[in-house]
Amino acid sequence: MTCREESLSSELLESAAKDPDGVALAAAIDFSIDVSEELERAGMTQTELAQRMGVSRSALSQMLSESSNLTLRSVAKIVHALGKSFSIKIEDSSGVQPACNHLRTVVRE
Amino acid sequence: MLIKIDGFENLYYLGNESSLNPLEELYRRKSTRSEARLWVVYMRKLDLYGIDRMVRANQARMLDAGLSLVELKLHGEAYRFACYVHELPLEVMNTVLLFEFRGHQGKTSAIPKEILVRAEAQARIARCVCEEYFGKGRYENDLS
Repeated sequence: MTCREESLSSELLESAAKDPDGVALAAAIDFSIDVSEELERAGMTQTELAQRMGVSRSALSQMLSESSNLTLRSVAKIVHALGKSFSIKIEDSSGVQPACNHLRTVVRE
Repeated sequence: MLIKIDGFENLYYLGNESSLNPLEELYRRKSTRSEARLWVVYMRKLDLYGIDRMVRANQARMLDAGLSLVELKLHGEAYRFACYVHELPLEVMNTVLLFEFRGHQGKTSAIPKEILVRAEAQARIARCVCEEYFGKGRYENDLS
């Protein structure tokens, strides 16, 4: 059995790195990972988080699923219900892995 | 043949000498160019967090644990990728992209049966190829 390696074209990589939708998607995925890990740490379910927020579980699920359309207001509601705060940091993109790390939502204690 | 997509830790697809990788294929079509860009971003996150954490964060969905068949989801979009995950000791997970398809954005997240059947068939092939190349995966005992 053989396995060969193949690179993505630099054109695709560069356009992905510059795509605002891609940057938003990357931040939204980071946020959803943070939320799921905070829930695990707190021993809380999504249903309990939704109750704390005063919304239905499906509404919370919808918020987390909106991905790149996730609003700051939704982020604030979720983070507040987790008993945390958050900030948005703008980072230098030079030398950073393409497409993903220019904008990072940081959930804090 | 198993083809590794360079620049990613553990991302592969099945193809032959002349086949184009699925992300480039999407990028070449004008109608799916923006989708290709988003998938590149998504795959970088998949590389960073691993499939388990992506599933827990609802960014991916296990379709068949026995087959290690996973649906990658671009939320807010109807874009989906069926993939096979070959898990090795030390939590090394090799992801094999199978094919891209359109999912439902509504409340029902059901996958059409013909897509599921196609995904299951391709996952079985991917598993055989991966076992030959990497050795047996951790899910082998779950398979019927």
